[in-house]
Amino acid sequence: MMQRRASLERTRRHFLSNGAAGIGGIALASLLNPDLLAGGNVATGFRRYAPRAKRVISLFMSGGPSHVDLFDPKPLLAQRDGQLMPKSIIKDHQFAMIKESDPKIKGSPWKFSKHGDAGLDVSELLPHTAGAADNLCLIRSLHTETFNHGPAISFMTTGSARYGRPTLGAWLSYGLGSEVQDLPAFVVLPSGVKIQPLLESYWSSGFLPSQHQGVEFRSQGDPVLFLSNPKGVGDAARREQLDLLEQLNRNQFDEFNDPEIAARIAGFELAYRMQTSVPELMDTSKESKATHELYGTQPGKPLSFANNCLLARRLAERGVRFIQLFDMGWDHHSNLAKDLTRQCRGVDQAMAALLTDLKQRGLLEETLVTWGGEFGRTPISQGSGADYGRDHHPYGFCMWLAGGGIKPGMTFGTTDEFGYHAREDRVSLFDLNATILHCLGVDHEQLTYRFQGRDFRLTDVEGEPIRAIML
Amino acid sequence: MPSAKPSRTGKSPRAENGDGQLLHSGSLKSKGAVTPIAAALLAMLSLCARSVIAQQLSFSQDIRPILSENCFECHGPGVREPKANLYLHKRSHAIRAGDSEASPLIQRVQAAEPTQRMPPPATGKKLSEAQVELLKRWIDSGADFDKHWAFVPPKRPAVPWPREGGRGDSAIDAFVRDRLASDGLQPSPRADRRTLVRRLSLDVTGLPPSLSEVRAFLHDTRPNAYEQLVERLLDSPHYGERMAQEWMDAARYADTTGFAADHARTMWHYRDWIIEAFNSNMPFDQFTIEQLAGDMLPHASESQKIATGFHRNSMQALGNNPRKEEFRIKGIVDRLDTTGRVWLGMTIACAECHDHKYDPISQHEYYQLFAIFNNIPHYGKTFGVHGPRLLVELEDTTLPRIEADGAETDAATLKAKLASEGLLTAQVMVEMDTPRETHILVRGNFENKGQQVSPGVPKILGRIPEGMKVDRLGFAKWLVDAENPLVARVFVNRLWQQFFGIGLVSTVEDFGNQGEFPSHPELLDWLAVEFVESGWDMRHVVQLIVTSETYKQSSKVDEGVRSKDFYNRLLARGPRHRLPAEQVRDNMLAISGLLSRKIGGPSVYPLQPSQVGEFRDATAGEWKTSPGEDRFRRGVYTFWQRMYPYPSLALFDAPSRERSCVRRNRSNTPLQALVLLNDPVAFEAARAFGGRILSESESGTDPGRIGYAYEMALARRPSDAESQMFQAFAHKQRERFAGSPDSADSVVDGRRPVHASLPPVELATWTMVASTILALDETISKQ
Repeated sequence: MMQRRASLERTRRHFLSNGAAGIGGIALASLLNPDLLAGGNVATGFRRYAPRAKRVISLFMSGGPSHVDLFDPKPLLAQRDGQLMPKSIIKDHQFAMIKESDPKIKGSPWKFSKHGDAGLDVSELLPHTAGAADNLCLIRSLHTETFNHGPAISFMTTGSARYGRPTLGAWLSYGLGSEVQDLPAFVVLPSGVKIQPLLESYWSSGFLPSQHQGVEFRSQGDPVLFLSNPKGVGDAARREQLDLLEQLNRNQFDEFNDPEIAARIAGFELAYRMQTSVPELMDTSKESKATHELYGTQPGKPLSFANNCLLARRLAERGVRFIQLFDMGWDHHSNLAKDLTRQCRGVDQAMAALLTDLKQRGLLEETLVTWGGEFGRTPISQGSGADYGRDHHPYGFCMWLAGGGIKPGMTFGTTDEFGYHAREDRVSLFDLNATILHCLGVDHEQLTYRFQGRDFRLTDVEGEPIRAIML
Repeated sequence: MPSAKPSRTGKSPRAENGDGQLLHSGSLKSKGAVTPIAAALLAMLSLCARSVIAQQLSFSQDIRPILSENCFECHGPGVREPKANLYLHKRSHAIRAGDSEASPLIQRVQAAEPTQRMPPPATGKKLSEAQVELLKRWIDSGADFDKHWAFVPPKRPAVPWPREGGRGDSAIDAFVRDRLASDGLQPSPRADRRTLVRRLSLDVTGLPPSLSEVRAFLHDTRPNAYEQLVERLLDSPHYGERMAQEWMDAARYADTTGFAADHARTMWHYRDWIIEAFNSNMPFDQFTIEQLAGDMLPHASESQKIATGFHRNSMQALGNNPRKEEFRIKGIVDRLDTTGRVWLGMTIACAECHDHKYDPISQHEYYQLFAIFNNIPHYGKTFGVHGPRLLVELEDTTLPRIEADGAETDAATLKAKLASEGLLTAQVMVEMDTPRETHILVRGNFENKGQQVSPGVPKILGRIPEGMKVDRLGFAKWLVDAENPLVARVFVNRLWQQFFGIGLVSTVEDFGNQGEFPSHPELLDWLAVEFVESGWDMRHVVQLIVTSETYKQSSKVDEGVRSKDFYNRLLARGPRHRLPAEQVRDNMLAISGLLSRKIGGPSVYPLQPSQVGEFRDATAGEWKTSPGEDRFRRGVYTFWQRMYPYPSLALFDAPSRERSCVRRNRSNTPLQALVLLNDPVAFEAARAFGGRILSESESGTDPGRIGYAYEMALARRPSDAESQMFQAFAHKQRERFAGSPDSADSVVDGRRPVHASLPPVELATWTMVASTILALDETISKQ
């Protein structure tokens, strides 16, 4: 009996001791989940490189931002504005919405100029981002496999257009665990204009154990579901309740020797800590005035992409492994001029501020920031009036990366002269994910999980890290 | 990495390197903090490594897994043009029977030169010494190939009894104890009656026993009291709900179409069909045929058509996607994937794009199966929910159970109301008069049609008998033909998993070459044959399992035995597991007295936090909390919205059911602690339970009430120590609430009228006691 108690005590101390072990409580709780191990699914040996990045912040522009209006200027489009897009370019492509048999070219109404030492092309819609150009690695040759939002976002987040695969964040939680004990390893922060719904499968653990799924932090009510005590239950009462639960659960452990009970005890303790750490995290009132000015945020006004950027920095500081911001409302089938302007205004200052802020705190070099959506938009107009828009475009589009082992101030890859097809240095999502994992020290071919008899990986059977953009 | 699953074929590589890396970080080893658990794991792994020295080697059991894991990707049955023109799943020049030294296979796996070594170093795979030894012994003893065990139809093995002192044991016990004896382990004593009545009740009905049920069982002196209890629970209409819960995962039951649009569609008639099928103990062959092809039976009844809702659970893409045909195809792919997983325990989906890499299923054969499912009229063309539907003629006798609370309406009015809400339609299967042509889709691409194929089943699994039409109905009948090697094994294995927490084959979804070899192969076969010969009697198998001494064992175990058999694969103890999500809910509501025991009807909307709807689409309809008792229905009736699953169920690992799921995860996370203590539903249950303790306990004292609460929640009395801890806790709460009447008022806020007469300080105090009891690991576990 004494010996068992001692072993439980050791286990428990390990759960709760701070930081040094570099293992989050959630990871450890999952570690103690026999089912995780029973399936024989624990991968090993995938940490092959010295990590440049410890964590990732993904700024996901949900709906599909227009590459030809933001980062990929194509003078030819303006010259041929209103003319037919050559058949040799369109081939037999179908579009999601455009029904015309003879779709017409649409030039960008916005001016582009070169920024930073490397002369990155950035549209006038993003003046703050332009100012941060020296931090960015702009990739202009991405392409994806599918052109409806749901499957395309699923593809970008999991590597498969079909639902049911684990997301990048879940892979990182599974493979690398968490550096922090009282926050989840994978946090999701939504904002923006609801045009398409946000689906939980975008942060799903797929076939990985469910504890690796992303946890959505909400800006209304409890930031994490069920975080607050019921009304009338104060902290002292809760503490007494938890102490009693722990004693009783320990007695159970002594009788049954079931490590699940030890994990349960730790779970209650961690939940209690989250009740302090999460509100503390969400409360930005103690940030300096300068910081709020930098991001364009106000304490007490939580629901915005800008506030989420500030929270992302706070989460990064605390060691959360994967932080994903979903900004909704980038699906501009009509009213491009008005709506894209609005949407850019919502993100520009804050994402530049995030880079600046991470940098000044020495966090940018160990934090990989990614920006992009599920596809780009057609260099063809949808609709012909003043309220024209652009349709979904999977054949060539842009993303940018910054920090965390990525070369700053460079452009990689091109599209053709119409901004239609990715042409030089084409980058697939698998290459991108292989690169992200590489920055985190992970060999993308070795981080696997056995499911239904096969060792699955984030990059399926493809992907090559893009050496040219890595430090 | 090489497989880390408990292997019967040698020491696990994980056990060998033991560098702690599997524990997520190299830092653990130096810390030494989880040593006891790591040690337990290592011991478990070596335990499962059968002592092969003394036994006859079996290709299927000992050799094929090594080859499958390390070699079949390039030299296996699924490779059309194997590397070096060499296959290793059959005789070849690489294996010289009787002479391992001269066999190129052995030379290559032992080669020091990287360019010579197999598997190639780049694969990251390497055979362990123990595995090489096994290969050598197998070759030296003649290199016999035999068919993979799961593809050979089961024969009833001899039961290894009687063992001395094993009088009264069942066949299950005989097999289990035979294996235990060979591993030097003793079975555990039988659990006490209180533990048994709770375990059995939770397992068979999904609900805890009531106080009177516990007491009745304790005082039942008949020698067959336990068997009587089993009969009574199996007769309960809640048995069907408990069984349906598992089957609904397998059937990917949901109330919405899935994908981004995620529209609501009426599926609950099919869910009610499942419950009724289990409650009437429909034979599994009929259960199978009606779900896969009920519409094609002669003079199909309404119920038989509703049963085909099984394959209408596939996700359905709505919207303006121009690739309609692609989504039609993906629907069929889902049906094959599900059918393969649920009945065959095969990952046939792998063969959609290429021949299966590990199992003998060619892409050609995949599309032969595809042809069987390819004849449902095209649907899903617009934003609306489409497809064959059936207008359900509800019997007047079934109406009362779906009637809205207390509403006095006649049958006709109610039917009209249901019809106006679209609730009288059922999604069903319909077969086209003229079958479609089916082609192989090259690399799975729906636009790239290859050779035309005719319907058929994979050769390895037999043939559809002469004279039987090769269509959906013929296929369904073939599945439940006694000669099918897989179906009975796969189903009894899942039943086993349901009661013991892990299957005899732990990879319940994969009985193929990459699946696990059974822990008790003879027992699995015995159960499978017994199942078929009993007339596919599901209830009979459940009864066999729960009346076995193996099931009745205590789940208490000392550290020594646990470390020898960490996962209880050898069954030297009874099962102990956290309850599935729905039962965490049902159990809490039942204990509190809030649970509605109404069976069937349209899905319901229990309370959920309003911010769940933030950034969500309302296409499936707004989540309006159901009125009256429908707020407190069992978890199986919760409106299953694929894209936004009900949070407190999802946090306890209920799957979203986008695809078929036959093995749930059992996670253990801090977010679950938050649900148990703070979810308004949980706290409402605590409040109701607190009121119940106060008003129903026979004793007016604190110890008496605590005793009552324990018996209600756990079917046992508290120990003195437990009672004292709770007394001290209640005392503190009472003092606090007395000093802060506002807090007490907040805690009891919303108390039901029945508790209106209770003093708030007392009710608040017992609410806190109740909340604590409901959150105990013991409460949310079957043990």
